[in-house]
Amino acid sequence: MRRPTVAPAIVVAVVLAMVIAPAPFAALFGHGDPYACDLARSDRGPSWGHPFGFDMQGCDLYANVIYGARPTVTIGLLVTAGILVVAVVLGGAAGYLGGVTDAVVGRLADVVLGFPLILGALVVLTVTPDRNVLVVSAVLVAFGWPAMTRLMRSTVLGAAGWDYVLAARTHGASAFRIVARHVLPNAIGPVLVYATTAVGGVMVAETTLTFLGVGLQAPEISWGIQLADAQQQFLQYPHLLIAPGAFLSVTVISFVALGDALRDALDPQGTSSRAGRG
Amino acid sequence: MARYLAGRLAQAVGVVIGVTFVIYSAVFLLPGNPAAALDGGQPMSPATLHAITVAYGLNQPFIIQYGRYAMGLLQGDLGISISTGQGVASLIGQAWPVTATLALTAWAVEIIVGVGSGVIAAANRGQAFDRLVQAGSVLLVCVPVFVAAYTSQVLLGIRLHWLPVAGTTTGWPASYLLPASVLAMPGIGAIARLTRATMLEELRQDYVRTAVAIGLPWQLVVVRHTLHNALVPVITCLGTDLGFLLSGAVVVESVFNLPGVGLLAYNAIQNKDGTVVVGVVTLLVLVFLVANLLVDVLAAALDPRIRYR
Amino acid sequence: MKNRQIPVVVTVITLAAVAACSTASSKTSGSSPRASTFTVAELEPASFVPGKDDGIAGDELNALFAPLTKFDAKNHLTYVQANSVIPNATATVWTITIRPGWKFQDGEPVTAQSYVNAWNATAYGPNAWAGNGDFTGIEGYAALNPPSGKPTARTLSGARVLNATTIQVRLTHRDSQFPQELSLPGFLPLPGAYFKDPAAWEAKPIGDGPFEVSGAWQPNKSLTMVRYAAYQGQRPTAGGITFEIYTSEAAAYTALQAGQVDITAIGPATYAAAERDMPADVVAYAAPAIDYLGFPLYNAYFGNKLIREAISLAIDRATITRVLYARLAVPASAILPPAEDGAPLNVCAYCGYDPARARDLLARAGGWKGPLVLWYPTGLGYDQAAKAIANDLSQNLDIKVTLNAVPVTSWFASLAGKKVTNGIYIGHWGAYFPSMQNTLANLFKTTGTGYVESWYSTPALTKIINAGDGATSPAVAQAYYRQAEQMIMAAFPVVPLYYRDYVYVHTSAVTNVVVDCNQIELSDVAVR
Repeated sequence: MRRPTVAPAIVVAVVLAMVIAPAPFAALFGHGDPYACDLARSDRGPSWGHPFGFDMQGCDLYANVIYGARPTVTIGLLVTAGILVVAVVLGGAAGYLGGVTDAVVGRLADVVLGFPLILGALVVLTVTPDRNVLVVSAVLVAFGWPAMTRLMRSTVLGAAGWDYVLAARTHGASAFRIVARHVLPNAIGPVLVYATTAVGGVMVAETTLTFLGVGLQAPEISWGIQLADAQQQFLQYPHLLIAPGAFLSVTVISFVALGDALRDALDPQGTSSRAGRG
Repeated sequence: MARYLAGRLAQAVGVVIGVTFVIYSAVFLLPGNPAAALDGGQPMSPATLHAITVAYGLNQPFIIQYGRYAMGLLQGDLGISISTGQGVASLIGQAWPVTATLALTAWAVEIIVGVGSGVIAAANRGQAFDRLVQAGSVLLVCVPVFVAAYTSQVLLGIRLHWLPVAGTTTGWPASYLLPASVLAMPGIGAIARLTRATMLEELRQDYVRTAVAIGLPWQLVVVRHTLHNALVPVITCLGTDLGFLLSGAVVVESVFNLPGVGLLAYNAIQNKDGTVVVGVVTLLVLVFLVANLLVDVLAAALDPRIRYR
Repeated sequence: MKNRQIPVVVTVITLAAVAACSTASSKTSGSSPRASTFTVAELEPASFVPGKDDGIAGDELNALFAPLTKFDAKNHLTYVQANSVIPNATATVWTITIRPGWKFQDGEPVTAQSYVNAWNATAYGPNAWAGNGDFTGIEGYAALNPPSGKPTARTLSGARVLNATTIQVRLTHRDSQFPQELSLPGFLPLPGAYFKDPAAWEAKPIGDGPFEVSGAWQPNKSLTMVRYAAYQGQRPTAGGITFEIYTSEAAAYTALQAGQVDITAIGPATYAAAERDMPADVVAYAAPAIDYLGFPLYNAYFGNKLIREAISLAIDRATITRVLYARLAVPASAILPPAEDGAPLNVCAYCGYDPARARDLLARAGGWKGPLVLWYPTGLGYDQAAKAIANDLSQNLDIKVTLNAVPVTSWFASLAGKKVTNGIYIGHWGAYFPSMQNTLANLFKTTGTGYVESWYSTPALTKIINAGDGATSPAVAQAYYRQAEQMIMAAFPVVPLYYRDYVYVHTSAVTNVVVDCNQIELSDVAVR
C-alpha cells in the first residue's frame, strides 16, 4: 500500500524554506515585522492584515510564528544530525566489533539513558547564562544519543551476519571497508526512519525545556517560547496557542510521515527489522 | 540464565557508582554556594555563611567532599539536604511514592490503551478504527507535555469538574488519573504504532494463514498465537519507556501539584543542593536498570528465539 | 510452556510489589464535614520557627502566634500581646511590658523570658536563621555574629528580662520606629518545649496565637489548625484553617478555580487572568511595595544620569499596569510608595512617558552602542513585564535589549557578586511594614539588606535617614524621610516603575477576606 509522500515532502520543504528565509513568508500578510510590538494591542484576535492576531506583548503573531520556525526546527535538525553521527560511530563499532567495545558502549548508553533527560538538561542549562541554539542543541545531543545508538547497534548486528558480509571478510577486506561499504548502507535504513521521528521529538523537547525556564529566552523567537506563554490564557485567547501549536504539529507530523515513506521505500517487506531483533 | 543475571547485576553496580560520581562532580562544578540558598535567597551575614560552610565542609577540596559522601553512601546514609536541613533519605522517601504511583499508573494506561488499540487496529486493518489509531498516534507525539497538561486541567478539571486538578488529597486513582494520562500520551502514540506494526508483521506469517485456513476463529488466532510473538519488541520499548516516564514527570508534577521526586530534583538543582540531586538521579538510574533487566528477562521468556549467554 | 511462565509471574509480582509499596501510604481520605473551616494555599515552608521564616510561612505564623505589636487594615500600629512599648528620652532604650496571663498552647505561660530566649536563638549567627537581620540594631548583636571564628556569647547583652512581664531593650542607635519593628516575625516568642526537643516541636508546632495545630505537620501536604480556646486576644470567626501546600502559585490558582482551595495569593503573572475570570473575588492590598529598575552604578558608563533619565522616560508605565496587571499596580511617581505613611507623590520628574525627550536625552548622553541586558529573577511572574520593558526600550531608544532570567535562589548572589555589568535589572522592595524608614534604610544605606539592589548611598543621605530614625515625633521623622527622598530623586540612581498590590483570590465559600500588610487577616475570615 503506497502512502502519499507528496504532501509531507512539500510541507517539509516549505518549513525548511521558512527556516532559511523567514522574511518573505512573514511579509505575505501584513508588514511582517515580529518586533513591531504595541502593548495596547495585547491579545487581540485575528484581524485584517494580522491573520493570527496579536500575542500578549502586542506583537503580530503571524510574523512571530513564521520567525519562530527557525530556532525550533534548527535545534531539531542539529540535534538529530549530531545523534546520527554518534550513533553511526558508536553504534556501528559496538555492533560490528562486539566484545569489550559492545559492553562499554552498552553500559555507557545505559547510564545516559537512565539519567533523566530533563533533569540532566536542567543541571547544565540552569547555570549557562547565554542559552542559544547551539548550547541547547549540544546539551540535547549529550543526553539523547543512547536510543539511536542502540538501534544502530542492533541493525548492524543483524546486517553483519548476512552472507555477503561473510564473503567480504573471507576475501580479506578490512573491517573499516566492510562496515563503510557493506554493513552501513544496509543497516542505516531503520535508523534514518527513526531519525525523522526524532526530529519531531527534539522540537517538542525544546518546548518543554523552555517551559521549565532553561530553554531559549526572549528576545529569541521560537515556538517553544510562544507555547509556554500561551498556555495559561488559552481559554480566553485560544489563538495564542493554536497558531504555534498547529505549525509545530504539522511540522512534526510531516517529518514522521516522511519517515514512514522512507521506510516503505527502503524496506517494503519489513525484513530488516526482523533481522535486527536480538 | 543465572550467570547472565549475575553479570548484569554486577554491571549495574558499576553503573550506579559511575553515575553518582558523575553527577556529584557536575553539581559540585556548578558555580555558587549552596549555603546561599538557605535563607530563601536573602543575603546572609558573613558570620552565618562561614559557620554553615564549615559545618557542611563546603570549603574542602572536591575529593574530600566526594569521599565523605561516598563513605556515607556505603553505610546507607544519603546525606543531608543543605537547603532544608532534612535527611535526603527521608525527603526521597516522602516524594518517591507519589512519582512511582504516577509513573506506574501512566505505564498501565500506556499498556492498556496503547497495546490494546495497536492490536485492534492491526486486526482490523484498513478500517475506520485503524485509520483513527494511525492518525491519533502521530498526533499524540507532537503535543508537548505541558500543553496537554494545562489544556486537560482547564477543560476536564475546571470546566467539566470531572477530575481533581491538583494535589494528592483525593487519593488513587482520582488524583492520579488525569496527570497519568497526560504523562502517558506520547508513549501511547509510540506504543500503539509499534504494536500495530509488529502485529501486522506477525499476521503476515505463514502459520497465521494456516490457522485461518484450518478454520480457527480470527480472535483466537490474534490473541493466542500472534500476540506474544509480536509483543517482544513492544515490551522492550515499554521497559525503556518506564525510565522516560519517571524522568518526564517533572512537568506533570509541577502543573498538577504532585510533590514527587521530579519536583524535588528540580528545586534541588535550582538551589544547588548536590546531595538531593545525586540521591534522586541515582535512584532513578537504579530503577531504570532494574526495569530494563526485568523487561529483558520477560522478553526471553516470551520468545524462545532469544537466548542470553 | 511451564518454564516460560515462571519469569512472567516473577516479573508481575515484582512490579505489583513496587506499586503496592508506593500506594500504601496514599489512602483515599474521605472528605470531612466542612464545619467552619477554610483552606488556604501556601508554598512549602522550611520550618515554622518564627526566627527561621523567610516570608513563606507568614500566614501560618499569624495563626500560630500572637505578636507584640501589629498593623491593622488601616496601616495603624496596634498592641496585641504588648501592653506598652515605651522609649527613654533618646529613643535608645525601650521598655516593653506584656499582658499577663497569656499562655502557650501547651499550657506554659508566656513570659518575658519566652521572648528573650527566642530572640537570642534568632540573633545567634551560627544558627543561620533568616530573622537574624532583625536584630542588627540591638546591643550585643556583633558578639553573636563575628565575621570569622566562633561567637563570644550566646545571648544579646541588649535584651534583658526585668521581670516576668517586662523586657528592656538597648539599641545601638536612636530608632523611633522600634515599636513598628516589633511586628516582624523575628520578634515572636518560643515556648520552652521548642528548646527541649526542637524536632518534636517542628513536627507539631506550639505557639500562643488564635489557632493551634491539630494533628501533625504533613510536609508537602498540609497543616491543619483549629481555634485555640484559651486565646486571650481577638477570637477568630472561623473554627479552623487548613493550610494546603502547593508547588507553585499557578497550581494553586488552578486549584482555586476548580474549587479545591478557598484562598490563595497570586503573583503578577496571574493578575490579569484573575481580574478577567473572577473580578468579584479578587482582594488587593495597596502595599508599600515598589518595582524599579536598578543600575550597576559601579560600572562607569551607567554613572551617567542622562542615560537613566532616558531609560525612565522611554517606558510606558501606564500601559504596562493597565494591560499586564489589570490596574493592580499603579505607575510610580516617587521611589517611596504612597502606602508608607507620609510618603509624597509626584516627586519624580522622569516617570512620565515621553519617547521623544528620551531619545533626546540619550543622544545628549552620547548614545548607546551594542546590546543591553535586562536581568530579572525567574519564577516571580516578571517575565511579561520584562518583555514589555525590553520592547519599549528597543522601539523607543533603538537599543537591542536581551533578557537574562536568573533563578530566584541565585538572584541576591548575582547582585551582591556584581555579576550585572552589562545591563540593568528589575528590583523590588516590599517594605516589611508601612513606613518610609524601612524602604530607605534597606535600599539606600550601605548597611541595608537591599543595598545590593540599588548600589546607591551617600554619607549625607545616611545622615538624613538616621536623623529621621532618631526623631522624637512621627511628623519630624517624616519630614526627614521626605527630604531623603528629594535627595534620591535629584540623584536619580534607580528608575521607579510602579507600586504593585499584593493580590489574593478567594472562592465564594468564604467572606470577609481582608488583606493588609499582615497578609490575610485570618481571624476575620468567615465561612459561609
